[in-house]
Amino acid sequence: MSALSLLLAALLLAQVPATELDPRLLPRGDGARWKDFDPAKLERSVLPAGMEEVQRALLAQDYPRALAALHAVLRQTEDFPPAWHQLGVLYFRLQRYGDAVVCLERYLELVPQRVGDTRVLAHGYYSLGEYARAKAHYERVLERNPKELEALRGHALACMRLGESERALSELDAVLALDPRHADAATWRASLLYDLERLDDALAAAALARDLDAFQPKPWFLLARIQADRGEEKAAEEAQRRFEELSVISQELRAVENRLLYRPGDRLLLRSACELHRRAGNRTQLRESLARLFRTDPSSVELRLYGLELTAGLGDEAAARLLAEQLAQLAPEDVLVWERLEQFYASIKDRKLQIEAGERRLRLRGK
Amino acid sequence: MLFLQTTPPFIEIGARALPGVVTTCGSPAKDYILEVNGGGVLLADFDGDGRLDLLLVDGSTGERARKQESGLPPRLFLGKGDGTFQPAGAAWQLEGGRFGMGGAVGDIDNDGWPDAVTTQWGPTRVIRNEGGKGFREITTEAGLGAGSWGSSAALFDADCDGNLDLFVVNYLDFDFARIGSRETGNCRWKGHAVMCGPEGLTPLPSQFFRGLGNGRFEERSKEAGIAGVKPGFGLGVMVLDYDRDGDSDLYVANDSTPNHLFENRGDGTFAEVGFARGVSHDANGREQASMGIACADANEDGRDDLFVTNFSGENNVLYLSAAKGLGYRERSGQAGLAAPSLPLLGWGTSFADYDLDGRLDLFVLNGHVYPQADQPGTDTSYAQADLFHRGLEGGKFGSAVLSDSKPAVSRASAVGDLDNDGDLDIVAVSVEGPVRVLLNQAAHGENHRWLRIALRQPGKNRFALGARVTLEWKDRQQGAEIRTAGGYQSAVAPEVHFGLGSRPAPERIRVRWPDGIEQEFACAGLDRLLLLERRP
Repeated sequence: MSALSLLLAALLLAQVPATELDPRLLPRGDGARWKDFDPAKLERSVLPAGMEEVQRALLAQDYPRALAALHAVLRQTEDFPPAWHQLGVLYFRLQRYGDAVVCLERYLELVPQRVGDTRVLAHGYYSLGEYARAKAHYERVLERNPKELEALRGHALACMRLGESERALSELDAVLALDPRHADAATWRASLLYDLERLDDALAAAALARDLDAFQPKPWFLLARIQADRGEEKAAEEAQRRFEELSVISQELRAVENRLLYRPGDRLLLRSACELHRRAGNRTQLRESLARLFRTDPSSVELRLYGLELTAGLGDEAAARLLAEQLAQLAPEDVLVWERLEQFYASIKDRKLQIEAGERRLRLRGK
Repeated sequence: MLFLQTTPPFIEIGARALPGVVTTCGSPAKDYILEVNGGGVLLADFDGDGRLDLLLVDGSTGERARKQESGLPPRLFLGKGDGTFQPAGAAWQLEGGRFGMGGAVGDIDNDGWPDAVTTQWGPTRVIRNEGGKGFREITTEAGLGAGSWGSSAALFDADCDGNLDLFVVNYLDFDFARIGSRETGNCRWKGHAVMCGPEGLTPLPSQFFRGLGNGRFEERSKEAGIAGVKPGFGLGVMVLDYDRDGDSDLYVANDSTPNHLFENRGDGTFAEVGFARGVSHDANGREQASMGIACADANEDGRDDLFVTNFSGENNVLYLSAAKGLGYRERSGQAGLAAPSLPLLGWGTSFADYDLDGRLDLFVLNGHVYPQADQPGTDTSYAQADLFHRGLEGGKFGSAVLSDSKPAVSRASAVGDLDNDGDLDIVAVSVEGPVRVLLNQAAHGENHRWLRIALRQPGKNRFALGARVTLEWKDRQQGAEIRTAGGYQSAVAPEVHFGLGSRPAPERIRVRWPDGIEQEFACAGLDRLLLLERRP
């Protein structure tokens, strides 16, 4: 594709909001030149020009831009399998499941031998409520990659939806055998056991799920329900309380994350996500959300001060120390920063750094 | 999912049944959440001629609502008994309110005539039936007049004193000046700009009014334990005796917040037990955007089960009573009701044996709240097909399109035998536009038997709301409760309907009257309306 034609395509697409682009309207490709297609062996020279822009947009988590770029590429190079795959995965991430299915089916039309790459297609069928189709496709993927964890998990859930509870249970067991820390599989396992009225097993499974991810509301929900059914009222009430706290936070987080999909750099939204993780007490997710926030302005002192506030408030000393070090480097001459650092080191009783920060503050104030 | 290959079980005769009758709910652009819930439909025999009449609760335009001008009045249409209606005369005409939503029906003054309460964005209204001759609004005399945004309502006897009490489900605190529009509110759904809410807005608590039996009410929300419950964005309500202790409990469908189950302590005070009983969230612990409620004893264990319609992307939920205790378990997937509902946004719904084969069926009216659902990538659409879920063996349901009408943006529904042929028909309201009448095309005859049963008792609560009617054979029982709550912004006639398939007449009919007294009646035959009068 020439630079000019790409520019024209981009200009044309710019008139349409990325959310309104319909993949069904993209031209169909011919897979003749991709008989031996292997994405791992793809040479740079065959990449259409627009794919670099796609990668940049995806790296920046700017999904609307990535959508527009992928549509531009496929208007010009409709037989380029990685673009269809990328677009399908992107649509799935944007919860546009019908569109994801269209793209991944087009991918398979071009390179039917690559069925092993398409577990997201099965996820798409599943999300649309087409459980039998999802199950069949997971099976095709698993034929190629029998230990594909997410396909195994998806297959288990499809079986569960189709009423094959015992099979679903054994597949979730297989997921957990491959990855004993798979919190989602553990949660579904607990849910299934509860559904089957195997209360003792369900209780143990729900406790495991909670231990694997204590910030997800569902394990707490299951614990509360199971304990109530067993007549363990006090424990059930405690679990319900925690469930209700996490459930409210989780609902707000879903709303924020859904908005972030279309407004990736929105600092207000990113701050909301940070606040919500702080409220839940989730250090890991708070660190990740802060990292996303910092990417919007890598040299911002204000954002790091905010991060220091949140991590220190949550007692995440390691993360707070790291931010304190970054602040010292980013703003070596800022008296307010050193004042804050002095307070922080005092709060964690690191006397040496507290004194150093205090001296620095006094020196700067003296200037 | 099981989709049945079948001709639609209902045909639409709206153009003949209610020619030119439309409802209005703001502007078609749906810039504000006030404009999306549609109007209400209340079925009752208001003039006492033995035929069901239709009180249609209408909304307003956005422009009138902004200026606080009166909205479109509720209108009564008298049933002709063949599924069609005619406008009622001047004596039945009502003034426009503010922005009508739904309502409830019941005999609030114990004179033997069904009265109405209508909800709106604005004060809840009380409408007295003047002995079958006309309506008179008595809101102020009745002690109501304050109000915010009532969606559904129910009349029922909460404190077992024989007088009907009123429960009003409120939605949210709406003000044009404070809530952003689709254009200014910066609210997005799947990337598309849409009207704002309910997330981010303030839900309003439900209200309980104790009926004095003379058309007057006293608010007792606090004393009844309703006011202290964390409010949800209330949309639907159902009256049921879920724990079979003889008093009426309430189930409330909340939008985007956990659903409530108010357990009656027997004296008209309530404890909220939705979580404890397993009906506040779905099986994954997710609160859903719930709208309508259907209620019947689907698993035939003597306790009523619940079915709740939800937002697109969430499945509708069937809660079946658990084998042990008073709880419920979500069984939507096992029943075949989850997958077909995923792309649809459900509203009015009701259990009944529509095809008279002896098994309960369900229908769901569907329609999205966002016109933007027609944009690419939403996996749904604004106008949607209404679904019929036919009851099959083993507690499963098979799905089919409900009627021959085109996909619509449906909302409230009410069920009743509009043409007096023994099967149940449906009145369906859309968010705006024509009101549809869906006539049931069920086969009749020896494999499609039915019974309609209405009760009468002397003195108070003459229609016996809260009574339970049970048909008894040697090997089976089938029970249903007398109620007028229709689930979502609607009301139905105070009677129960049983489809019997090829079953013979029941050996006896057992009635548990609202005060707990039980009486047995012989079944005088099938395929008829039985009016059972309480013996002294």
